[in-house]
This record gives sequence, structure tokens and C-alpha cells, in this order.
Amino acid sequence: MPIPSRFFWYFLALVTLIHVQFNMGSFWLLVGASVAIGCLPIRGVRWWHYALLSLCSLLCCMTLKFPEAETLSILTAVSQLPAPLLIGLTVVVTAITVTLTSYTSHLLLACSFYPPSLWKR
Amino acid sequence: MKKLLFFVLTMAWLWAAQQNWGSLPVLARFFTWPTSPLKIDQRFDQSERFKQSPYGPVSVGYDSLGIPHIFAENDEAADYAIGYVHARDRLFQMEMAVRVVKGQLSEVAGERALKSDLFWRKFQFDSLAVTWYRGMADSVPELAKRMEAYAAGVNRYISRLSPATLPLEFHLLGIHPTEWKKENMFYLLRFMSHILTYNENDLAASEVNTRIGPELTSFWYPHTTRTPHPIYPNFSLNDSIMQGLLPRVDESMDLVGGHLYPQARVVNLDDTPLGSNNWVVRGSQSASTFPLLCNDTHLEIALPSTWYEIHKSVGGQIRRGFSIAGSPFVISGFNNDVAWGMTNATWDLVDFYSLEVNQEGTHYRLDGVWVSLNPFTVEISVKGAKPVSKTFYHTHFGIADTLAGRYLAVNWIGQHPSNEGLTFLGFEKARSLAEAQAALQHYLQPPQNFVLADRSGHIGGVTAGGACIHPLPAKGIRKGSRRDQLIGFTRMQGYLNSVDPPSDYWHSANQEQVDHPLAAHISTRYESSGRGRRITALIDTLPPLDFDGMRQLHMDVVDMDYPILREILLDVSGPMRVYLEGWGGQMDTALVAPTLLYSFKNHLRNRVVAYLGGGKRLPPLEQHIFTVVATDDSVPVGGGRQLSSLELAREAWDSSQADLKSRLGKDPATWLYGRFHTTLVTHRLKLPALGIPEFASPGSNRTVNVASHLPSTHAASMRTIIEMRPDGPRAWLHLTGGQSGRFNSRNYSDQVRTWLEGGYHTFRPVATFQDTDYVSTYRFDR
Repeated sequence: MPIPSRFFWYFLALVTLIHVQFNMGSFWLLVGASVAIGCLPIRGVRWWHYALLSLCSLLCCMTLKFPEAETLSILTAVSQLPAPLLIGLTVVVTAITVTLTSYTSHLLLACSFYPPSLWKR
Repeated sequence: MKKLLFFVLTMAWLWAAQQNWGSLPVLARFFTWPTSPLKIDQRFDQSERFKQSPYGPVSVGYDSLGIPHIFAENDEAADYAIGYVHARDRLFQMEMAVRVVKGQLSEVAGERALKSDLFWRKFQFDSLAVTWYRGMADSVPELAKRMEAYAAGVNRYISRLSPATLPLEFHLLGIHPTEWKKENMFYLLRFMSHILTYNENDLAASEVNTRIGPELTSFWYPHTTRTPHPIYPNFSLNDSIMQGLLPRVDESMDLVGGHLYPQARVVNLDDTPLGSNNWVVRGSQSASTFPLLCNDTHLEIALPSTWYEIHKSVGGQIRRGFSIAGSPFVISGFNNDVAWGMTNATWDLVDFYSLEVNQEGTHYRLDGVWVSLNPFTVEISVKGAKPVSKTFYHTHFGIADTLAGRYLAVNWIGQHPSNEGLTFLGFEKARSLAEAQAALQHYLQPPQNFVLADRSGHIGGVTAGGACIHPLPAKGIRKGSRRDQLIGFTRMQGYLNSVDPPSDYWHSANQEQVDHPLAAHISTRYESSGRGRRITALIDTLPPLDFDGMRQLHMDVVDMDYPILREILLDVSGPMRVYLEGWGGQMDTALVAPTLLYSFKNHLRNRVVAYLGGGKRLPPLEQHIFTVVATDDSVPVGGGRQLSSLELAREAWDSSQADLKSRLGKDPATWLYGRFHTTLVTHRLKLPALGIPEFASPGSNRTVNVASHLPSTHAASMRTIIEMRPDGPRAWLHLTGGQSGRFNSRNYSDQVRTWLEGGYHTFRPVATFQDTDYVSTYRFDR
């Protein structure tokens, strides 16, 4: 059976990331999900594809539930970081985690999971 | 090569994300979206319905003040729900209380918490509490079941937490709540006992004695007050009973010189009153002809509040009042038949014993024989630093530590087993004052003056708890060389009680319990009797008391040092006399006179301390200083010198005026008390963003409505007025601060303003859950 097109896998990866980030409060689940995403049989993938995926998923998560103003103001006061920097840092740290983990798992695991015939298609 | 590079990079990143970098929180917790505190929202406040309640159905409705109204068929179901709502609103406070007593604070707070952990770990409460709980489960299974239900409720809430509902403080510290154990109530009791009873004043007293000599010590640090106003004015004690109470020990103090204990935890009640007020009047004194009982406890007013108000109805029986998160019981409040409240007994419950230890540091001399010191070592994990270990010793006199090169054992009431849960269980079920009094027989610590009233019209007071009755009233470090020198704790409820007193009222305000030599053997540093005297005067003079009269008493801001100092203050005040003439001592924010008085009092005390050349950390009691300056022509100040009291007062006045000019400007007309005396309500982690900006507040350290210190941090942490009518209680209550410990709750600090204004909310009896509207609800179905 031929594997679905890469757009299917990207969509699946995006939904997985959104689900994990939106509903599951665990850093290690995010890492696990990123490893799983890296193992998806997507051909010709580049590291920045995963970066884009993570940014898109974060955008969706924040669109679905943007931080409440009161939360934001207290956090900025407590951490002494301006709100844009606070959100920016969160985006950057999350995106780096997802990108590095998924791309590394792709390099190390994905190629060996699938028969070359499928991989080359 | 590329694979290896990315693998190394990923591993390095995952490691780095788990570390603390500088002052930044852990990246993996704070700065990744799944666990980010940016997700915190109002979801904690949503109504929910649960299918399984292990203890039976229970309904919880929150009102607009965030007070949970709990309706259950049995006590365990109610306790399960209380555990759940305590966790919802105060989880971080509960976590910290347990961590403090277990000595596990440094794990999350780093080296700044090390001193606290070193103090607590030596008592080994983490293993003792488990033993105590097992003993309780054997002897009082009912109480053990209730603790179990409460713990289950807390853990049910913890199991449902998400980053959106996890309290902010956990996010900031990068920790998750630990499972709530059944024995945790014992930690909470020790935590409160520490706040109310632990001090190292004996170490400071030892220094004072050696610095200023016995004559000055006996003058400035007398064992009894010159102006007693005892809680039990008609107290008498048979000589033989008194002799029986005093330990038969040839006691001696270990006098040492020098300033050896700069780190000692000295508690000066004049600065930080941890006292409270309570009073009760019989029907003959009240407008309604029914007993009225009032209580306001003076504690640190911080966010979240110490107290948590609850209302539970179990099988139609009401239990309403103030609980402490971590325990399911109403600590001060009422049920259908009985009302109760409390104030701290302010007794000396910590003794230090100096041990004679051999050169090797392995044995100490006891009854002429060298006995092993039984060393044990504690290891404390410290966030961001290496673990710290320290050795302590088990001795006959308590846990010993090395301080300033000496071996000192400490005997503190907090380290002794007790189960106050039995008392509060008894209170909740009491049907009469006699039953409440019987429940108090179990009470050991922290010793309290309990006030009681029932709906049959009986009133009374009982001072319950263990007293350390010292053979000598002298303060300092005791010699610990013989077994019989160890002074135990004697429960005093059998001696200090008064039911239906002839005066038809009873009150306490942390002053001495009795005007009898016994008082000095229990403690020599009671709080000033000023508040007590003022309460007596108002009850005697106000018209038949009702809610308004009781409120007036709670809110009274007449400084009771003023009548003592009035004449001498008028003598030294010169042109400023114009502000003081005609003034009655009201510490109102819109007046100048209170500023003059408060500043003068501070400077008078500081002048005396300066003349004594030491003892600043444990100054003489203000009440004593003011009384001798006002009544004696001259006072001894060292070197055989006598100083005219008037001269001393003039010096204090001059320095206070200079101080006020530098702080408030040159124009005395602008020295309004509201500019001088403010209140500061901070978050318990001292995070400015979570506190409230300072605001002007009336009162002083010597007013019934206490507001101590500059800025004031300790005041009435709650207020109750309870009328015990034959058809059931009526009550007006107030909690200082707010019910919720969550910064984004409408009930986080909504009762600070009402505290300042003297507002109360009214208790309305509700028969069933459906009889009223709620802001949010929890339903636990069978």
C-alpha cells in the first residue's frame, strides 16, 4: 500500500503537536510527540520544516487560547520580563525543543523504519 | 557526522532545559508552552459534577466571597470536600507548611531556606508524625478516618491539576504538589505552634543578664507587672497545690558573657504582637438577652490569609467558622449549640539547657555519669548547591545543637506528642459548654485562652494547654546536669477556667492569666494588659451590647499606653501640646496627636535600651518602661546612675521630634497619622506584584484593633461576632485578605478593604444546598 502524501503527514504532525501542547501539561510528552513526528515517513524533510510545524502549532494553540491579560500582567511583573519577551521566549524554547528532537529522531530513526522502496517513492 | 551532531545538540538542549540558569526559572517548566504559566486561567473556578465520591454524596457551593458551603450526610464526606476546596484555594500554602516542618524548603527555595531547614530537621518530625498518626489510628479511629477522607479530597484535586489550574507559585518554583499524607495535620500543628510559642528569648535574656547585671535586670526585666489586669481576676490557689505544681529542683542558671547568639530568634511581642482578643458576655449584658461571643486573632496579615472560612452542614448540623488549610476542623467558630474562640496564652515554652560535654564531644555529664550524646546527622538537599549535612544529638533534655561552641539542648513544647484534633472534633460535636470544656481536656499546644458560649446561656473561658512551670521565674540558659532539672509541661485547663463568671463577662487579650506568683513561673513576658483593660472598660460602660457595640469594640483604636504617658507627654511636649490637649488617645489616621504619641513611645523605649547599653534585641517590655517613667521620679540606667524620668522623657521627645521632621517634613500640622502609620499586606513569598500597596491605617500596637509596627504587618486576621440564641446561632464574620490563594481569583484580596472599614458578612442559616444561589458549585455524587 503506498504511503500517503507528505501533506497528510505534515497535517498529522501539526494536529499531534497542537493536541499535546494544548491538552497535555508535560514537557516530556512534548519531547515524546516530537520524536514520534520525526519518525513519520516524510520524504525530503528539512530541519526547518519541523521548525515551521512547531511555530504553526504554537500559533494555533495561542489563537485557540491566548494568555489572559491578568495572567500576563502578573507574570511580567513577577519575572520582570516584558510580555512580548515572555511570550517570545516561550515560543523559541518550545520551537527549539520540537525542532531539535523531531529532526534528530528523523535522522536517526525514520530512515531505518521504512523499506527503501517506500522511502524513495 | 550530521546525525551525531544533531544527537549531541538535542541531548545538550534537553539537559540545558532542565537546569536553572541564573535567576531564570527552569526552561522546560516555565518557557515551554505545554507547561507554561501563560496558560493559567479561570478554569479552577468552573462548576463541576463528579460521579464518584468514596465517602458519600456531598455538595459544595461557593458564595460571592469564595466561602464554600458544604452539605454532606456524614463527616467523612464533608472532610473529603473540605480537602478538595482547601486544595483548590490554598494548595501552595499547604505545601509550604508541610515542607517547612519537614525541613524540605531548601529543595525548592535554595540556600536562603537553609536556616529554616536546619532548625526543623533536628526535630525529625517527618518520622514522628507517621508514628503519631499510627497511634491516633489505634486510639481514635474516628479521627483517623476523618484525616484519611480529608487527604483523599486534597489528592483528588491534585490529581486533576493541569498547567492552567496549577497555582502560580508552583510554576515559579518549578515544582509539582506532593501527595497529601494523612499525617500532615501534625505538621500543621507544629507549624502553628512554632509561630505562637517558639522563641529563643532565653538566649537573649542570658546575654542581657550578664551585660547589665542583676540589679538593672531585676528593675527593667521584672518577673511581674506593676499594673496587672489578669484574665482570671478571682483566681486563688491553695499553697499546697502551688507547691505541688512547682518542680522540686534546685535550679540554677548558666550565666555566660558576651554577645554569643546574634542569630537567636528573639520575639518581642511589643513589636510583633501575635496575640488576639476574645470576649463573651452573658445575656444579662446583651441587648438581645442572649450570649454574645467575639474573637479576633492577631497574626501576620499576608496573602493568602492564615484562615480559611468554611460552612459545613452535616446531617443538618452546622459547623461554621475559620479553618486552617491542612485541617478539616473549624478552629474558631460555632455549631448549632456552642461557639468558641481563642487567644494565645503567651507562655514561655522553650527552655535551653547547657550541657557539660567531654573533650571528645561524645558524652555529656548526667547525674554525675558520662552519658552518650547519641549523635544523628541530617542531610539537606539544597536547590542549586551541594547538600548540607549537620549533626545533632539526642539528649535527656531534648535535641542538642552546638551554638557558639557550647552544647545546648532545647526543650520546646512543639516537639512533644499531642493531638489537638481531638479538641476540635469535640468542639464540632459539642452540644453544651460543658461538652466543649470536656473536649479541651485533650488540648496541649499551642496554649490558648479559649472563650466559650452555648445556647443555654452559659459562658466561660478556659486557658488550655501545657505550661512549663519553672522553679525560678528567672530567664536565661539553664544548667542541664541532672535528670530532674528537665521541666515538663503541665496541662493548665484544670486550674485556669471560669464558667459563668460573677461579672457576667469574660475576656482575654494575651495578658497574664492570674495576679498570683504562679504567673511569673509560667512566663515573665506577657503582652501588655492595655487591651484587656480597654475591653473591660468598654464592656462596663457601653449600653447593653449588640452587634454595633461589639463592632465598636473590635474597631476600637484608643491606645492604652496613652493614659499612662499622658501627664509626662504633656510636660515635655512644649508648643506641640496643642495637638495633645483634649485628645483621648484615638489612633486615627486624620490626627497629628497619634503620630506624636507613637513616635514618642518608640524613642522612649530606644533611649532606655541605649542607656542600658545592650539588650536591644530583647528590650524591656514597653508597658514596664512607660509605667516606671510615668510613676517613678528617677530610674536606674547603669554605672550606679539614676536618671530623672522627666529628663529621660525629654530626651525621647526631642529625638522623636527630630525623627518626625526628617521623615514627614518641618510642618507638624502635616504629620497626620495616616502618613506615619501604614499597613503592608504582602504575598507570603514576598513577591511585590502579588501584594497590595501600603495604605494608611489606624490603631497601634496597644489598641484593641491592633496594627503594629511601621509599616504594620500584624493585625486582626479575622473577626467574629456570634450570638447564641435558643433557636440557633446568628453570626457576623470577617476574614482579613481573601479566601483564595489564587492571584486571579476575585476572592484573592477582596476583604482587605472591608477589614480596614470594619465590615462583616452575615451568617444566614441555610437548611439545604438548594436553598441559595452560588457563584460556582461542586457536586460529588455517590
